[in-house]
Amino acid sequence: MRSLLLLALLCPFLTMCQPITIKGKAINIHNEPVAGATITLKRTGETTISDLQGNFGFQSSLLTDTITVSAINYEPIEVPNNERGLITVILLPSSTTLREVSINTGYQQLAPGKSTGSFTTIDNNLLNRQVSPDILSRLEHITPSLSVDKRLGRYDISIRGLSTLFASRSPLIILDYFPYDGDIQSINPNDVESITILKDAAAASVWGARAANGVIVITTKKRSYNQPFKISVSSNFTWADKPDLYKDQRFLPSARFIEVETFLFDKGRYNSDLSNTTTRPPVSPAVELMALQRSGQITNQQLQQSLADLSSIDIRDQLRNYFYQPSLNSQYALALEGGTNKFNYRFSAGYDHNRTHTVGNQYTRFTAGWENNFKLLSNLEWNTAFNYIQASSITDNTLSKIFTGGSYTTIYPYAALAEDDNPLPVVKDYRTALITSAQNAGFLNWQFFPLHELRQGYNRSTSENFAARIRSSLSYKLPFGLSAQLLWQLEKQHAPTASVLHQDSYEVRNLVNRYSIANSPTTRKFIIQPGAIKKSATSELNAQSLRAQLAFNRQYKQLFINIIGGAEAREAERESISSIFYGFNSDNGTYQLVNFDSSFLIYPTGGRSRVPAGFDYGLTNNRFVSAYTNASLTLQNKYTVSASARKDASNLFGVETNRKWQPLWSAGFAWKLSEEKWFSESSFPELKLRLTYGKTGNIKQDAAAVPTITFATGAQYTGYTYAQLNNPPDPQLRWEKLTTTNLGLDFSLKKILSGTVEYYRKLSIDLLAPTPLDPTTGLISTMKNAASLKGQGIDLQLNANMHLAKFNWSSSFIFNWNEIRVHKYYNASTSASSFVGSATAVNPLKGKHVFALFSYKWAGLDSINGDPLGYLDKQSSKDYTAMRNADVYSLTYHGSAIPVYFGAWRHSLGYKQFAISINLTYKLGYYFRRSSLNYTALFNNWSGAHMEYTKRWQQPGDELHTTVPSMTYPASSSRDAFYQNSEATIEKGDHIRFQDLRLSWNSTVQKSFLFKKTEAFFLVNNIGILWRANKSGLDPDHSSGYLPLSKQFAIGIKTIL
Amino acid sequence: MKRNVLILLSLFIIIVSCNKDWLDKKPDISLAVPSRLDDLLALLDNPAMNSSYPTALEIAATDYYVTYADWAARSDDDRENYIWHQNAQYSNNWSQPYNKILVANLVLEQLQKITSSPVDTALYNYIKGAAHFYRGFTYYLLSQAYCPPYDAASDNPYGLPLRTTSDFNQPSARSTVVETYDFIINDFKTALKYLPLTNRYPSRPAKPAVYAALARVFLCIEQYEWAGRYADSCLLIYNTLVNYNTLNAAATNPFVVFNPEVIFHAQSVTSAIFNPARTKVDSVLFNSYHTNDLRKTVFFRNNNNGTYTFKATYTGQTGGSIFHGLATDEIYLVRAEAFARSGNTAEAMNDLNTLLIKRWKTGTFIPFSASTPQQALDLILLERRKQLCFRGLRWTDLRRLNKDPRYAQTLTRVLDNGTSVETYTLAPNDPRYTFMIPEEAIILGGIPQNPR
Repeated sequence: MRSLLLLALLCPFLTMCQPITIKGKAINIHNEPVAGATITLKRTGETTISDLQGNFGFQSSLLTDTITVSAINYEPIEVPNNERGLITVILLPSSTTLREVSINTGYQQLAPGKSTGSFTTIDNNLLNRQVSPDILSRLEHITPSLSVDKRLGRYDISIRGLSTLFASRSPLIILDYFPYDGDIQSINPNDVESITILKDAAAASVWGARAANGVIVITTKKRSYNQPFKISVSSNFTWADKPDLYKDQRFLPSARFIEVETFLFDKGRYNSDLSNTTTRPPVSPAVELMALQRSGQITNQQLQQSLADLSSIDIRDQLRNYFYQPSLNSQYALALEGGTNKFNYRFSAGYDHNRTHTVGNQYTRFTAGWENNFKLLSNLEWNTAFNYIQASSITDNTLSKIFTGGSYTTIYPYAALAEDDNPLPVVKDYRTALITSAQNAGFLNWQFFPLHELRQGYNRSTSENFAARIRSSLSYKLPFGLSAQLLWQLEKQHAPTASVLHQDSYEVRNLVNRYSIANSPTTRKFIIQPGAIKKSATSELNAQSLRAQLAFNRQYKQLFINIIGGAEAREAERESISSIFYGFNSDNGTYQLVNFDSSFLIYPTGGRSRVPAGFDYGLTNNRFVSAYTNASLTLQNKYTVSASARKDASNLFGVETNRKWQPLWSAGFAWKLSEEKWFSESSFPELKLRLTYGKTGNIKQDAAAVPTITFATGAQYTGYTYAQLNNPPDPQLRWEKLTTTNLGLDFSLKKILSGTVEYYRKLSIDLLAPTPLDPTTGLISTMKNAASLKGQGIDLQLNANMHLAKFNWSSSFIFNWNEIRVHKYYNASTSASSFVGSATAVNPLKGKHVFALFSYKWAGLDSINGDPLGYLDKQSSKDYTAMRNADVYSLTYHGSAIPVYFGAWRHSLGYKQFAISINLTYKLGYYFRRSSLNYTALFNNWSGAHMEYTKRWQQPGDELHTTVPSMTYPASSSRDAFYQNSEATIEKGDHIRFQDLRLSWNSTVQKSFLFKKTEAFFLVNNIGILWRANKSGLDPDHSSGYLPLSKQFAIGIKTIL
Repeated sequence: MKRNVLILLSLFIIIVSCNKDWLDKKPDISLAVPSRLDDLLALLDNPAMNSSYPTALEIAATDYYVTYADWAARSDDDRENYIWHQNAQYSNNWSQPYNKILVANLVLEQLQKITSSPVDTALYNYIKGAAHFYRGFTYYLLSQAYCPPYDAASDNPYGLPLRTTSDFNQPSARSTVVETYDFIINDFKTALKYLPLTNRYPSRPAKPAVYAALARVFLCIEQYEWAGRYADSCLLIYNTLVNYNTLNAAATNPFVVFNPEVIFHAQSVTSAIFNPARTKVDSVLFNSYHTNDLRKTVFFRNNNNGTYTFKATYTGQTGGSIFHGLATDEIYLVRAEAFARSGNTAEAMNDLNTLLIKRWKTGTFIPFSASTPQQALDLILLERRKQLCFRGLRWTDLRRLNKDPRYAQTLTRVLDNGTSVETYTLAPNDPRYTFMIPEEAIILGGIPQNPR
């Protein structure tokens, strides 16, 4: 980044009494003239406008005055003038400007006016509109082409939709110059200057075989020479309320749950569990009571009373009280920077403390960075950057242990965790009778008190991350516009995770009790001695990158040439080690030697098992070697042609050397119509057409051309080292390839409106996809370069900007259309059952969307018994097996399960020093499957519970107003699967969301070249849904049942001294 | 620093110029191309090679029953197999055994590329023999589920697809039943040439395992003379029997993993229907044990409600899967049957009594006697049923003995849901004695389905 400050040039003095000619030139940071800028003399009020070459001038009686310069798309600026002669005013792009920032591709800085590719740059102002501990989550809702899939509770970013089916989907992330292998969470957002998204082939193909998913280049803040010392401090706080557990539909309130249990009890569902005297599976308190009543130990009246008491308990209230808390994130940042003519530096430090929603969980991060530039010689510059990150997170795992065990994956809803704030035990893993009798048989106490464990912190694990990055580069300017650069980066990360299970924790007591043998009726011999269990795992990352690059930058009259070429090598080695210590005493570091080789009798099941070992070692090493070039020629500032090529090689295992080298290339053309003489520049100050074409690649690490095996240590019973066959060899294996064609138009209109519209087509070929195999071959499927995807879309961004008196209004509208369809895919199985579902994973069928949503046709409920009905050969049918096995084309195809149209509409209104900004987002053209009731899972492991149980069919006539099938016993898993995957559980996903509201106050005090700037803001995030197409009141972004995000409230302040 | 940079630059140039070697680094330490003998050995030592054998063989046999409530709570596959539904099929009962065949084929292919040196001949021979053994053993168990019973007189086109390559592009085709058995016997005979006399753990096959397997195969195809000879060869090398008086009958499972009778360890796919809490032993079977017969308490647990549960699988584990492996008790019974069928009553009864004296309470056993080979055979078949229950062998025995009117029997299953009683029967030689091949294999492999 070149100079960001305005400069005034010294000129000879003139006398003060005569009228003085003030002449100047307005230019942008690329040294291009800014036409149409308004120049005002503050004291005299005289005004003029700069011409096409950016020149302006006036006569004034005052020598010392302040010149204010404003222009569309640029930040207004004030220049104190006490000089005569030519004043050069450098205008900085305003935050709402699309394309006037220089583009960092990771290899070079491109002037947007001379590029052909598709880039989106998010500048510092826009990045700081949101507040978050990490940087990537700030991109959503403000970045054209970028979408985030949160359906699985993850944060999967994609740029211009999917380019692959089963290989890595994440965009390549570049930090300044090199791919970033560390934890993206650990980058301090306050150190980030801007983010550039490389979208088409001309932009991304320079990154070669890892660029098909798009490239996100994160540029950290840099300083320039001749800059006064500056300190900036900032701090912000974000608060959000406890999550609303009542929003989760996958729950059955206690009374209804007991109703189901009574039903099952009467059917004999629990008989074998109740009479089981070997494994002693857990039985819920309600079922215990029913058994007591059946054996005559309590009366029916007592039973009903006890069940009514249980019904009044709701685990959600208790979890909310004890296990959840409002979250509070605090962030502090400090930066010091400055520079002389030979040296500049920036020091930054940050501290984050996040308290999350779960009690006991927290995250702290400390970051420090130092970067400096030395001009060793007039043409030799040495840059060094050093970064240190220390992060630690504490996780309390008690919440995840609150499930009943045995076959039950969750807990009964009437579990009482506390009474008068005193922790209570819950049923866990075994019959209560066994737990109680164990006390007198020499076992350790076998009860599980979740709240006690939470309060004592018995289940906490700590993971830390120490990361350091050193980068050094030498840039040498040679004659004839040549320059050479040598870059080297070392990245080290040490991430230890430690969890000490307290000796009184249930997990330890359970383990000790299970591995114990009766000594006498009242004593046990313990194989594992009571004591804490310390588990630790460490992962180390060692990455090194080296790059040598030659650049040629020269202007020959009307021809501007820019060529870079270079080579780089990169190695990332990850080592992971885990270990376990039994009987660990944290006071003196002693531990118990455990026999991991022998099998011991397990109580009460009587099986034999070895003591869980938990030792592991892993080492991976990825190496890449690449050579690349990128060239562009611009003629008369009108026509630009560009080309790039790259070759990659890697040690990807098993791939033949000839396959390792994959040439990827791109070509592009841009035409600035607004520069043509025949073009009327008054209405379109800028109009530029771009066309590019090229190829990028994608890698899947675990496919190989030869048979590979994975070794494992310690086979059960023998202890032998053994190996698993990974995949059948495929000598045809190739890397995935994406071809992109991009047509773009950049324009500005009447100085108010500017924007970019792009149309693209994508063709992904040679995609690795599991191809089902004849199971007689011994394999069910294998990965082959078998599939291809075809996609197209539009990225549109419109910016409007208006100044009216003291009001400043700006608006930004983002619209994306992205439609990726399966072009080629081998489906050996065309049976309906393999296509229905929620399409949270890719669901490829030729001609359909990648995330294709299919349903069984729904014919309502049987009016006699409430069975769900479908269609088989156009006849209403209950033959679920036949419908499962029917052809996929018998299903209803709804469309995409991810938005086809999406975007945001952002408005900002400024008045004096105040600004208010809101962001509305929308997602359209898609469907989702809501969660629903599954009787099989409800009966067997309680996980199939759902609020719609209350709406189930119970008597003839109910079929007129419900789609929820009746409860039957035995439950039929195919009947459940039919209902859950039928048209009855499909909803339209379209919605408009009030994403956020931001109020800010800005104060800029100008004091002779030293700006003092303060900004304070208040932000509300995740405000709510304004409109939704579904009638069920569901949040389509959280359709799989994950709780919607709570509203976040943030305040912050930032001061530059 | 400048010097460092220069050094780095030159390193870089070296790296780039000889990147072929630099790029040969393994991307993951635990990965390997199976090219060394140790790699092949590790593939065969995978516990998966000793587990995941077909479970349908026992589910459909009538050593046990479950209550309606327990039956209703099981998977569709378990439920259908339990009542011999004519379309009952188990996809993992097919694909998982064939995965073992793939590993064996891959090992044999890779082995051809390795020349053994005098130092590692023993290892090389073991691998070669073991690969043949695993392949033969897996094909044998598959044949019991998916091929019609053997009939030397009239061959039958519904043999197994016999794959001998790891190349998944090669199509599958069904062989005849005779071809299938010939292939199995050949694999075992090859294994015999290469395997050692003993191994430390019975998870690895040795010569006694091959002899035992051959004895089992020849018994199955009713070539009793050969069955007897191979059983004899096995017992010459290894004949340890466990004295049940030394066991703790109260234990959840009185047998440990690799108990001394186990010659080769193999177990089935885990099935929830075999959970000891659910499986109730057939009452006729239970009542056939004498009070002094220790098997009555070692094998079964009293549920204290008039029913009994089988708990004593030779897998040494508790429930879920059954023992499909080879053990000396079975081989004594094979030899005894072979003696009886050849008219040698004395030797037959001698083998039977050698086994049974270790099964009865010390001092209570009065040796059985028989005056005719027929009497001996009746006794041996009864004891075979009592000793080898829940071993996946009954299905094969039913298929074999149903051809003989003396021993043919109709199986019955009863499901009582409280309001109605459903009875299912399986007549001798019913086509349902051969399971349906999973639909995927029929569609993707293009092979014909078993007839119904």
